[in-house]
Amino acid sequence: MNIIVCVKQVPDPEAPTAQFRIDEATKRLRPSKSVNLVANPFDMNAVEAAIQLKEAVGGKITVLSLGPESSSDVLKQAVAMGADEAVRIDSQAGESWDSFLTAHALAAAVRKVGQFDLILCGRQAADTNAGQMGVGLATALGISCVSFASRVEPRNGKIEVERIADKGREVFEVALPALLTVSNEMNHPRFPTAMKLIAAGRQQIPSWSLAEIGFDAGQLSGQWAGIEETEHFIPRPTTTCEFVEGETLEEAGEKLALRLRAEKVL
Amino acid sequence: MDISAGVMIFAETAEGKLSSITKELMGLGTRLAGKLEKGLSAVLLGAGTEPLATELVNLGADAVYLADDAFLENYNPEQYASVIEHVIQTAKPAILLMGQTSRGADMAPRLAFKFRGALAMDCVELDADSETGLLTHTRPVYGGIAMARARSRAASLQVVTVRAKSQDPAEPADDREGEIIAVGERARGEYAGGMKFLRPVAVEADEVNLEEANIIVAGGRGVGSTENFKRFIEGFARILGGVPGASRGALDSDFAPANLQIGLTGKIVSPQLYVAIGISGMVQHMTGCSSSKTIVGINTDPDASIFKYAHFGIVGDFEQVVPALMQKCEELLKN
Amino acid sequence: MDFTIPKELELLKNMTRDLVKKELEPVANDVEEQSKIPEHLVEKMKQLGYFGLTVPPEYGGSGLGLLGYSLVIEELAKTHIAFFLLISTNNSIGGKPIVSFGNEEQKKKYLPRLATGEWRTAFALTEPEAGSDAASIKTTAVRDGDHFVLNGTKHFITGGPYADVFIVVALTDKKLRARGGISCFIVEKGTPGFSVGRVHRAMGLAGSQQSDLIFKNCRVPASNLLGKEGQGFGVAMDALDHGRIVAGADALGAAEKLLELSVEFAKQRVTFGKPIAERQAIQWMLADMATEIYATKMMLYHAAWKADQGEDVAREAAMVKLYGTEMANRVADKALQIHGGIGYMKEYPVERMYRDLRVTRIWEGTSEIQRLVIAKELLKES
Repeated sequence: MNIIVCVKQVPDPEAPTAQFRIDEATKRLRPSKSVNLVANPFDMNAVEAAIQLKEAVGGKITVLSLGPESSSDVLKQAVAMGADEAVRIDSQAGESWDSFLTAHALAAAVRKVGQFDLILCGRQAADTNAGQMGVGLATALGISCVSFASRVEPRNGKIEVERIADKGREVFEVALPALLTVSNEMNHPRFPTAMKLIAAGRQQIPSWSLAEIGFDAGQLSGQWAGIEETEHFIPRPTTTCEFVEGETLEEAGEKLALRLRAEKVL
Repeated sequence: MDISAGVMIFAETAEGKLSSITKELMGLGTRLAGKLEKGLSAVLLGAGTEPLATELVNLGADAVYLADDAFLENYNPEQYASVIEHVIQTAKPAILLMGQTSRGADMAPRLAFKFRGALAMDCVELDADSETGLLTHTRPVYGGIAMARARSRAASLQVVTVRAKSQDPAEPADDREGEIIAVGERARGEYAGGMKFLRPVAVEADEVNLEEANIIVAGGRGVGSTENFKRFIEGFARILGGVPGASRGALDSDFAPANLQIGLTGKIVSPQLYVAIGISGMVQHMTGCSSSKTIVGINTDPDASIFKYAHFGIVGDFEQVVPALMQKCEELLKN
Repeated sequence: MDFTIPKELELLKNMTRDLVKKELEPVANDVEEQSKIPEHLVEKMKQLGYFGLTVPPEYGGSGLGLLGYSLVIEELAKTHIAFFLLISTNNSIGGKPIVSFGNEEQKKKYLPRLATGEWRTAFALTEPEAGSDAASIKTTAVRDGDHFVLNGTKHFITGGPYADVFIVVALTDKKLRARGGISCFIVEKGTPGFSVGRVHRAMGLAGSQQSDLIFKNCRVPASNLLGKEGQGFGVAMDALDHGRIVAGADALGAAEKLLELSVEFAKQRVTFGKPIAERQAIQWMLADMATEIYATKMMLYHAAWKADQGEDVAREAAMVKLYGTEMANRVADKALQIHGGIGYMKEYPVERMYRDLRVTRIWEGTSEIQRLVIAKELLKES
């Protein structure tokens, strides 16, 4: 099974919130210098899913990322985990890429990769939280798409996919080629071994320019209205916490029960 | 009332009833349609959904596009999309409101990409400019660390998904009038796509209805083990007559089943009482529960962000605090 | 000057940080309370190649130099010290002597098993009456045909109770001592005459064990002689140079974690209506901590890089060890002071790190011995 995985580099979503500030001039959230750029966690679930499929039925995994030079780190990580090939589609920092343009650029890159059976994406990016790109890419390529996938198994040239419903799961049989957006429930991404990570770290990740994949943003402009962000702001919790204490922690526990009773919460 | 260029909502059902997000969407839709002086319509898909169409009218829909057909009993995204596309082409709404639900969040990008519309996901606040008819929205970015305010650019269709429990639900009234337009037959066609719905799967923790629960006891990575989760989280929830919940940390450590996840990528809850045990209170989790009436935090780390959201807190090892707390609660609840 | 860390080392450092955050730190309290690393995490560290970071690739390891290995340890030191101790013997003082001085046969036998973590090592130099003064050891090794017969007792040996392979330093010539009378042997667990003695109870270091090792007419095959006969003091000193830089990396990582905790706490903790971070008394402490950490980092990276270029770093290693561990103890003291009462309590990591850091001024040569080494090198030059 030939699998393409799309990954994105994002500011570490688990960095302490204090390390994110609003830039007064641009009114945008700006991570401090100490926030590392990491692989979007959901995309790593997609990479892991691809590796498990390859381990089950064989095939080849190609990982794509649209981003500046630093995105190569994420691709190297995917290679260390077990991907066969990785290509970065070169974009510059500061360029504005909405879900529509990104989906169409990745569609062009997918066409350049050539034959594929399955495309895997994370369910959403940890920075924009948009959750549009995967479905958008499937639409751009005209292939079937299952979002929020929590399980995938190859079945007689097709795949059986379970997706997360509001209650329980829904199971589908999907003909290939298809695209899945992968949810964190599907797996725990593996850590690569030190040896493989070092080898991948020394590799050169090839990059394709937008011209090389035949992508022209100008051609698409005006075809997609999109939304325009005006500002970011940080919501602040306004609660004051009443700390319940006691001689011992057991006593504190009992006191808390009494406080909750007094407040008629119990 | 003219439906075209108006507001349409995507109605969803759960166990044969309109789901709570649908009532919220009707409340929001009524407000926006009023502001724009346009009609409000709903699109309702499924099998045996006809009785609910009247309910949507009672909630304020001027028109309900009803596709009540056996082939829509189960969710096939491609079939659902084709029906809704047909409705959009017929009714020509300017705004389509959907829930940030499994189906809503799946369908919204399909439709927005198809119609090259404006799209905003997981909105918690929405308003419309009465002159331009364009929406302004507030939605979380960076996992909820920040909120983004945005506005739609001019488009023939604006699609948004709306966060559960963010809007006031519409109140039903018996004397409302609205048109019910059957579209199922027209849209049915011969489906030739590559997707086939096989079966629904119940998940172990499915009986737990987190969204409707009054009391939730949630455990995080700090709970330490599956045994502890069972004993302290599920055990305490049972005593309080509530249900257990979990943070993503507890899931990643395999302490808790996936369906219990609360937070940005899990369930959005707002119970009367939310007890967070061994949960650090990362914004991605708190996004899913910060609107709870009373929040209690128990954590060893006095700096844990959970205490910024909690109304009551104890700093200390939960294995010492919780057994005493459980016992005292049990005692108090007996009397 | 180019201060860029090679990409592959940066990625490995980041992965270690991730592993610490996601898997190790969440169990740090359990490791302390049960004095044991959960078995599945030991297995995971083995499987990810953490036991063979410095073992050459031809023997199944990652072949990291001192800089790469130090970067990993710096991250690993940000959680419970047991994880550092878990992998440090195979990668440093236990494995390094075989990498540097082992013959091909020894390398083939031991290194692949050290790299996978199948076998764990311990380095046995210290004795009840020979700690700092390593050359005054009393354990003897007497040649008897194709064997050496070892007699004596080793002391405070990290990993004693669970190691499979021991690097044992013994006297082969009482008169020559450090000048050619000391030799190193590879002793396998189960060798007749070898036994593990008393297990010590330490101030800290939960999750690892230190014990006595007893050699009573222990017959070790002559083929297990590491390096040449009489070369043992050099073997030990080479291992210690490596170990000292690594000890500095451990101290650095722990200090960085303590500073991080302190900054976070100072911003949150309010007294007299203001966060204590706004008080100059606290700011000065934080500024001093950060400055000393930075100084250590520069020294450490430079010394490690220099060692990787094949240069002799005996003096620099002693400086890094001396300054880094003393620095970390000062940082731990300030961190505890900033945290106040909560810092003294066991439910918070500062108390544990404070205790665990105390030993770093003692192991791999006390601060006083480091000064001795530095001064000796200085005076030798002029």
